Order: sequence, then C-alpha cells, then structure tokens
Amino acid sequence: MSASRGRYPLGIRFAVRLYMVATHVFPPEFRRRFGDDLVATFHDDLRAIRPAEPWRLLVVTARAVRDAIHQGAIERLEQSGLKRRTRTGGRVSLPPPAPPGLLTMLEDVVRDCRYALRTLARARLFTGVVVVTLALGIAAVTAVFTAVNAIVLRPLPYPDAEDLVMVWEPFDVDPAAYSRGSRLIVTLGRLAPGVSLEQAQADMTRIASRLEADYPDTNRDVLARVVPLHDEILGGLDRQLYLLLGAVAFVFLITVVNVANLMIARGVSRQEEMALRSALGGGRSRIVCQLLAESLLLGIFGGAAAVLAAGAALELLVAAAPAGIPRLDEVSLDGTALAFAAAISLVAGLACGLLPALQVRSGSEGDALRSTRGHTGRRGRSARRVLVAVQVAVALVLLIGSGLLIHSLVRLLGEDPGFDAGGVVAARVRLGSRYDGTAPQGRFFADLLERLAARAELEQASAVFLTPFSGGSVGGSFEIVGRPAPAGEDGPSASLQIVSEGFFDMLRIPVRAGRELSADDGDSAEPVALINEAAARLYWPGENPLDTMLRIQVSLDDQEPDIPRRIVGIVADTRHRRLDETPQPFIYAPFRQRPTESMYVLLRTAAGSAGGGGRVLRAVLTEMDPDLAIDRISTLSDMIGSTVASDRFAATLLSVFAAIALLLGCVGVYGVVAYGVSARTGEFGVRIALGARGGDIGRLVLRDTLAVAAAGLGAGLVASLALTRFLEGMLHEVSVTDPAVFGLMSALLLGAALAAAAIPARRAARTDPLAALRAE
Amino acid sequence: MADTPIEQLLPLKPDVFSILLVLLEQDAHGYRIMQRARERSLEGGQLQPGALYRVLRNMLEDGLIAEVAAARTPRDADSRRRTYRITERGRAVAAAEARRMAELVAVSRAYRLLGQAEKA
Repeated sequence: MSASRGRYPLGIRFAVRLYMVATHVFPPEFRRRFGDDLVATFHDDLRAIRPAEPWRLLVVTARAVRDAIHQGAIERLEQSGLKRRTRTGGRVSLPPPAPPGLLTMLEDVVRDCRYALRTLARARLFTGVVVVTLALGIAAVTAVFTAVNAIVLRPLPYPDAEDLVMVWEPFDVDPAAYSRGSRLIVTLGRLAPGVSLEQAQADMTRIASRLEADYPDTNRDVLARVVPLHDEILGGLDRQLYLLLGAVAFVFLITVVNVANLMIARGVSRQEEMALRSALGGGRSRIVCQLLAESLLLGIFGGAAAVLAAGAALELLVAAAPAGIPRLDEVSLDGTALAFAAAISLVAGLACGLLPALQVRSGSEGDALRSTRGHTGRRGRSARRVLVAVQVAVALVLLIGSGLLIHSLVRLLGEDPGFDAGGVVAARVRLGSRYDGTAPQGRFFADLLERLAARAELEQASAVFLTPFSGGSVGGSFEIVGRPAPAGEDGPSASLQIVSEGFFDMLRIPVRAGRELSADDGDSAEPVALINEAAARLYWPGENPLDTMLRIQVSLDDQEPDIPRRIVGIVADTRHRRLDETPQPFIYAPFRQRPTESMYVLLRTAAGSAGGGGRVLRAVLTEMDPDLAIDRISTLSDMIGSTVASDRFAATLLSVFAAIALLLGCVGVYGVVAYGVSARTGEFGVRIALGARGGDIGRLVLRDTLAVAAAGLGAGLVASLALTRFLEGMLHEVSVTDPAVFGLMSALLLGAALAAAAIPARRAARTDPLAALRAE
Repeated sequence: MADTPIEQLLPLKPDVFSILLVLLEQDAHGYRIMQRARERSLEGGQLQPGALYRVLRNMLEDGLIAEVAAARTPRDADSRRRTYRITERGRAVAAAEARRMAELVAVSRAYRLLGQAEKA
C-alpha cells in the first residue's frame, strides 16, 4: 500500500466509512450495481493524496460526499419520474413525464390526512402513547427554550439596550452601604454611537488616573470598570441555561427516537396492509407520503398537547428556579414560544416518520404478501436495535452530566463555611436617617443587644455589619502604620466587618492568637481591630501582626477617615460569599468604636426557629422604636443554601431530564427485546424441543440485550467524554471525567436495561414448544 | 437507449466525449478513466465518483461502452472493479462528434474567430 495509508490509516478508514454512508442516498438498485466501484474509486482518490498534504483528505472527502449526496438525490428524482432522465447527449429532449397537477397533489394530501386520521383513531393505544411521549419531549424543550429566550436571548426592554453599560469602582458592595459621599459609585451610561466597550473602558481608566494625579488626597486608587448592563444583570447564568437547553435537546432526541422505534414496530405489523395497498396500485411514493402524513399528524397532536403542558412545565420551572434569577417575570408562553413549539412539532413528526418510511421498499410487496415475517421484519429489527443503542447512549450522557453536577453539589455543600450557622437567624435592622450621627447609632445597637440578651427565649445574640452569605461585602484599602506602600503600588486591601463582641463566640469562629473583642472596647478605650488568618498570611508573612497599627481607609457612610487601630487578635478564616471561595482577608472592628446605621442582628433561639427569633426581635424593636422595621430576615443556613441555589437548580433539572431519559431508554429496550422474543417464539420452541432449558433461552435473550446496551454504553461514554468538558467551571472539586460517576452511571443504566429486558426474557424462557411450533 | 439513432445523441456531453476518448486508448475502470482524463486535461477529469458512475451508467444504457471481464488475479487490488471498453457504436458516436466539432472549427475559421497561431 502507498505511504498515505500507513500514515493516516484511521483518517482514511473513517473517510471511507463516511463515504459509504453517503452512498446510501443513491437508490438501492444503483448502489447494488455501482456501490463497490464508487467506494473503490473514492478510495483511490484518497490514496493519491501526498502525505505532505494531510488536509487534502478533508477536502477530497468533503467533495466526494457532497457529490454522492447530490448525485444520489438526482438519481432518486429521476427514478421516481419527478425529473427528466439525464442523457449522454442530443438536442431532442425526451418527452417529460406528465407532471402531477397541483389539484391532484392537493387531493392526495387531503386524502392522506383523512386516511391517516382514520388509521390513528383505530390504533388508540398506539396514538395515545406516541402523542403523550411527543408532548413530553416537545413541552420540555419549549419550556426551557422559552426561559432561555426570555432571560438570555431577548434584548433588555430599553431602546438599543446592548449599548447600555455600567460604570463602577471595583469593590463589591451591599446596596445598604451606598450613600451620599460614598466612594463606591455605580453609574448607568450609554455608549456613544460607534464607541466600543474597550474604548469606553480605556477612556474611563484614563479619566480615573488623571483624577488621581490632580487630586491625590481624595482620588487615590480610584478605578473604573465598564460592564455591559446585559452581562451585569445576567451574571454567569446564561451558561447554565444553555446547559439546560443542551440537556433538554437530548431529551427531545430520545423522545423522537423512542417514537420512531414505536413506529417501526407498528410498520412491521402493518406490512400486510402496505403490501395490499401496493398490490392495488399504490406506488412507493404514495405509501411513503401516507406514512409521513401519519407521523406529521402525530407530531401536530403531540405539539398541541405540548403547548398545554409547556405552560405547566414553565410554571414548574419558574417555581423551581432559585431566587434572584433576573427577568424571570418576563418568562411566558409568547408568540415566539408557540412558533418554536410548532416548528419542532413538525420536525419531530417528520423525523420519527422518516425512518419507518425509508423502510418501505419497492419490490418487497410480493414478499410481504407471502410472509409477514420476511426480511423486512429483520431490517426493522436491526434498525430498532440501533435506535435503542442511541437511546442508551443519550441517556448515559444525561445521567453522567447530572451525576457530575450532583457530585459537585454534594462536595460544595460539604465545604465548611468556617463558622457554625446552626440555629442562627439573621435579621437586618436599618436605622436610616432617624439616628443621625455615629454616636446615637452605636448607642441604639448597644441598647438593642443588651435588651435581647435579657430575653429568656434567646440563647445568644450578636450583631454584624454584613452577615456572611448575605451577598454583600465592603472591601477597601488599609494602611499598615509605619509601613507605607511603595509609591505607585497598591497598598493592602481587605473586606471590612463591624461586629459586636459576641459575634465570634456565637458563630464558633475560633480565635487563633491574641484576644476576642469585649464590651470594654468602647468609645473611650483604645481603638482596636481583629484580622483573620488570611489577612495575616497575606500582609504579615512570617511576622506577628499583633500590636501593629492599621488604618482602615474605606468609609462605609458619611464617616470621618478612620484612626489608627491596634491589632489585638487573629481569628480563623471564614467564607463570606460562596462555599467554594478561597477565604479572603478580613478586618473586624468593634461596633462600639465604629458604629453604622445598618447591622444584621444574629439570634440563636432555644427553639431555633426563624419565627421565634424574629418575633422576639420585633417585640424588642417595638419597645425601643415602634417605627423601625426588620429589613430582611432569614436563617443563616438558608442564606448559605441560597448561594448554591443555582447549582442545585441545574443539578435538579438535569436529574429530572436524566430520569426521563432513563425511563424512555428502558421502555425502548423493553420494546425491542419483547418484539424480538415474540418474533423468535418459533425458534425458541424448536430449541426447547431439541433439549434447551428455559434458563438457556432466557440467557440468550439477555445476552442479546447486553450486546445492544453495551454498544449504547460505549457510544455514550465516548460522547460523555467529549461533552462533559462543557461542565468545566461549573463543577466544584469534581473532575469532568470523574471515574466514579462514569462507572456508577454506566452500571445504573446497564442494570436498568437488563431489568427492562428481564420481563420478556422470562416470557421467552417459558415458551411452550408445542404451542410455538403449532403457531409456525 | 442503445437503439437511439447516432445523430440524436449529438452534440455529446463534453464529459461523455472525454470518456470515449480515454477508452479509445485502452480499457479502464472508473478511477483510471478519471486519472487519464485529468492527465490529458480533458473535460470530465474533475468528476467526482458519484457523477462519474452516473455518466458511465447512462453510456452503458446508450450502448456507447460495455463492461469487460478483465483478466484478474486474486491479489489484484482492482479485482472488485468493473472495467469498461468502448463499443463499435461508441466509436461511431465519438467519430460523429469529432466530425461535428471539426465542421464547427472550420466554420469558426471562416469567420476569422481563430487566429494565425491556431491555423498553424
């Protein structure tokens, strides 16, 4: 063989295989006569490729495959009489076949539909199963598509919304913390026509650095970031929605395959009818049209049922969606959704009817009339086995995808936030402008904590500016006194927390060095602060931070620049925003020395219920100031839970899809095995008559199933390896090729497939040889 | 069809004429026909397999070529393939086409479409 064969044998083999598939577009007669020559000629073409030009393999293959499809289609058209025969030459054209009149064609369509309706009405069970299956698939796809369309694809409801941008300084901030004079500013702007996001960002950076040069006192470290409003509103959500869309497309595929499977099974049992119609003069194309009319009608019925179901599915989706998904209120079954549902209903109808229709062959009518279990039955059976393998493969992909997400979620939930949230209720109390000035604010919260401590229902109470997992934090730069940052370099920065002295004890955050805060760290005492281990590691590597002085530079509200504080203790790290984050550096200042107008009050009740703690807090607040209200109340555990809500949402939905896929896959396996068993009853009868035991027959059937399932599993594993990388970045401490998940899900699917096959296998094992032989 | 009068097949399609020319030289199977047509820069050299075999099928039906049972050895890699030979009718059709073209060329000269170089 030539060098090229040795060099890319795999590529050549694949190309030849692909080309062989493409030659199936030619009519069977043509393929029987020239198929081998076509492939041999194509193979010669490939072998002529020089090893130095491997890309030519692609070019040659693409050209040849395109040619095969094109010429095959022409050949089919010519054969069916729809196109005039191509000739070797000559000016005189042959008389064209009489074109079917438009009226005749319309009449045919109407007749086909009426006949299909009658046929479907007779086969009620079949029709019902198919319509329900299709409705499920179409409804699921439509619901998810509608959500994606509303949330991601449709532009924001502002003119030229894609030009809207947000400009801000880089620190994340809780909205409670903005106020007049704040250094954390978010501005909405619109890009000038023709200005790109990059240009806008460059402009903002330039302005910021000029401000810094001109006003070094007030504008140090001012930065600006420009973000499209669309991205800002969505966060990373679009990725998850696209994942769901992909998953639901797989569910749809399985649905269609399942229905195609049912239709082939039915087509086999209708061979006599087809043969009769053909014998009475129905051409092959008429019979194919008839079958397609049936499947299209099924698709339309399924679609109609799906639109009803999609409304409910959408409600379910919206209800199950985690809080905080933007634009969720815009999700509804609108015109786009209906058009989408209609389109995919037609696609589903056509797709599941196409395969059975292709199995109708001219020339097989005579055979079919003679025997109902002719070779067409075997062809149908092998097609069904392939379809079932496809179902198994797709189901495995979904199972593995959901398995990975669940595994990741379990890992995520197993992460230690660094504190004990058990039984803690957090409620935000905002004083607003009612207690103007820091001194009254500080006195209010000190009084509140004192009154709460006196209540018997409460075990513990403390206060914190922004409780962990509330979603907010205020970060800023600070100065280590006596160690100025080198010119031109950013100084140290950390998140700032204002806490009451009971905070660390209540959340069981251990103090690693120095001391905790105490009620004595008040207005008149020396200003103090605690830092966490992350801050100590980052800014005092190899040193002892205790007793050094720091000055916090970020201001929470209209406060004076801070005074130097002595670090008196180091506490353990905690996670603040997400369970999978690396703990960030934190500085804790006592609220008695640095009060704010807004605090989360943390309560641990004896009973531990949210209502109990909230009731006590409300009662105490009413005592103190009847006009104050609780801004937001939740258990700390729920707050932690809400940060994994979107992970849980994705894992749940994908699991639902995977379960549907598993179920449909089992139905497919059951169907094809049951059919195979009934078709082989005679054979089993003979085997048993010749001395085979029932168990041998059962094992034979199971082995057969195993072959189909194994092919599906193999394909599914390969597809999963290729597809799970789209999950990368969504998984926490779980590899996208996690062997445990791959293995477990394969075993689950295999077990389910064998279980589905067990019923027909048992029936096969009990074959009564006499009855079976009589039936033959 | 094989009984269509020769005149009714003219003008021949260019790729059909090229294939006849190639087969005048020697019997060949599909790929070799393409290869030779390509080497001689004839029309039809760029045909893809699907198109080529449809043309060959039509030529078989019109009786311009015939399949031959070539001497084959089991180790011959080409043993699976059909080899084609030009028929007497094919020769006659090719000659008729050539005459038709020659007349066209003569007429083109008369109208001075072709210059001195072509004349030489």
